[in-house]
Amino acid sequence: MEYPYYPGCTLKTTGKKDEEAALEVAKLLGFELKELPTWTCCGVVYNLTSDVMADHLSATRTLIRAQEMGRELKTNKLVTLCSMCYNVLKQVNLMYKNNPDKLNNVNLFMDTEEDYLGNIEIMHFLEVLYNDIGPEMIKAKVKTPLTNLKVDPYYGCMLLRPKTIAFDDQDAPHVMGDILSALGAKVIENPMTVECCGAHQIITNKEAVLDCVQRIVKASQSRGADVIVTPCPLCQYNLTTGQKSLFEKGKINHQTPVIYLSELLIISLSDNNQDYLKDYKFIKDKLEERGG
Amino acid sequence: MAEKNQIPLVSVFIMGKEYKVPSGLTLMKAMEYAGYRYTRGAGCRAGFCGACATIYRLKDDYRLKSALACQTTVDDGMYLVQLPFTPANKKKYDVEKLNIAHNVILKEYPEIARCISCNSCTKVCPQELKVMDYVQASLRGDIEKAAILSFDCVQCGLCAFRCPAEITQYHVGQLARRLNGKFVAPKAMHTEEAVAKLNSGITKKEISKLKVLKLAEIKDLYKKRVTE
Ligand code: SF4
Ligand code: SF4
Ligand code: SF4
Ligand code: SF4
Ligand code: FES
Repeated sequence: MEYPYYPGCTLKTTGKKDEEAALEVAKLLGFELKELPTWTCCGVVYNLTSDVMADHLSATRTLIRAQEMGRELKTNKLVTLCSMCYNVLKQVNLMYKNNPDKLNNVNLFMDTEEDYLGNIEIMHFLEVLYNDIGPEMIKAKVKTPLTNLKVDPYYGCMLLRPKTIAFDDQDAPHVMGDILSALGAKVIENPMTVECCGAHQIITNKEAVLDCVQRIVKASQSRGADVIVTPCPLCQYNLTTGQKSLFEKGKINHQTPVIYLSELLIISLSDNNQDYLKDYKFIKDKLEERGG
Repeated sequence: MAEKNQIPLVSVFIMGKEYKVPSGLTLMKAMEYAGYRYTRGAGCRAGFCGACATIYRLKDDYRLKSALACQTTVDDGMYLVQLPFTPANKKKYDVEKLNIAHNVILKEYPEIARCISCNSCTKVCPQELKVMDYVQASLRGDIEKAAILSFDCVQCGLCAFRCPAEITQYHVGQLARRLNGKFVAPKAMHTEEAVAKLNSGITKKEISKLKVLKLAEIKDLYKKRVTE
């Protein structure tokens, strides 16, 4: 199975290795993520103003690219690796589904593109793993079980809010935990798992982000997590850099590695050395220490 | 008067005033035919310098079109105006001190993050470049792609006029090409060798010979020169 794939800016810059790992994981699980031949930034946030069209253009263009590629690959799915991109693309898509007049308007405006027909389905990588592949199949492909590794699946908010775009239980999501269990890991229940990490406030109001990060990480550490796993490279960035600042200020006494989902998956699904990944050695050592 | 072999005339509206000009003229020649004289807004007259950016509309078409005045011929009923200069701030940077981190272009031109992917720049580009795509490639630090996509830019400025995000795309592309040349593309060794040769003074002897020649002798030498 081949899926049209939208990387987004983060996966091509700070998240390059996460992308590499995800593409490899896909192959090991028997599917392929095919990058759209051209794409633009998704627009960063979904604009809630009801009458602006301009801010939705980037996402719309991506939906059209997916429609074109989907025709070739015979699918209407589009996969993202970033929660933020997932959120924006899915909300824009939904807005068109609910408002055919807006879809018509945007098609009239984008007069050099083919019309968007409104039937692309946006999926986060996690959703593909869970719905299309399934934990059982993943379990069968595990080469290095993550036995006794204590993982804290941190969802953040962008996959689950608003309700209309959530693909898992909004208050008690289980999809990521189920996948991590399939890898043999010990999944921790963190009550802060759907709390916001502060997102783009990192640029204008770092203190606000540190506040969020402190609450999330403390809850995770007090439950003994070895690693925090995220489905979003932005959460990963915030939780990592946030912990560094908190540690320097003496507000937490150690830093827990924050790992993008694909990195943990590749370590478990492949025997190959993955030392290009930032936490490869840490995980390997932990597994050894835990007798995994 | 017998007008048998005369070239048919077409109507063009230059800044709103109608002129009849022979069909087949370029927009630039048509303006001159109509009596305009270029002191700015024309350079190479060959589609390379980008000095002659022009916008126009045709009858019954809502689209605003663009052209290089020296490269496009008149159509009947064209409404046109030339926009020979785009005010644009160019950053002062020392390319030697830059790098190819993913945010290097963003740092110099932070306004590229304002791009809303409207594609107006691509639509207006008389060089038919994928302007939006090179802005987006710059935004995510794909320097090589930005450099390749913007390679044929003649810096006419039309994209910057149309951009709702007030980006000056051609300066962004130029920075990408400079970074690409400096850090990404393989070195042009033949250029370096040629420069080194020049610096070693191989032309000095010939030049000093020339310097003492009389005008007639120089002319004679010129006539006898070997050409490729
Ligand atoms: S939201 Fe962020 S990661 Fe996703 S495409 Fe836009 S800038 Fe890139
Ligand atoms: S956790 Fe942070 S980055 Fe992730 S979705 Fe929520 S706000 Fe966005
Ligand atoms: S990219 Fe912009 S400046 Fe360059 S040729 Fe095209 S329109 Fe002109
Ligand atoms: S005109 Fe400006 S905003 Fe529109 S696509 Fe081009 S660079 Fe982006
Ligand atoms: S005059 Fe140089 S491009 Fe037209």
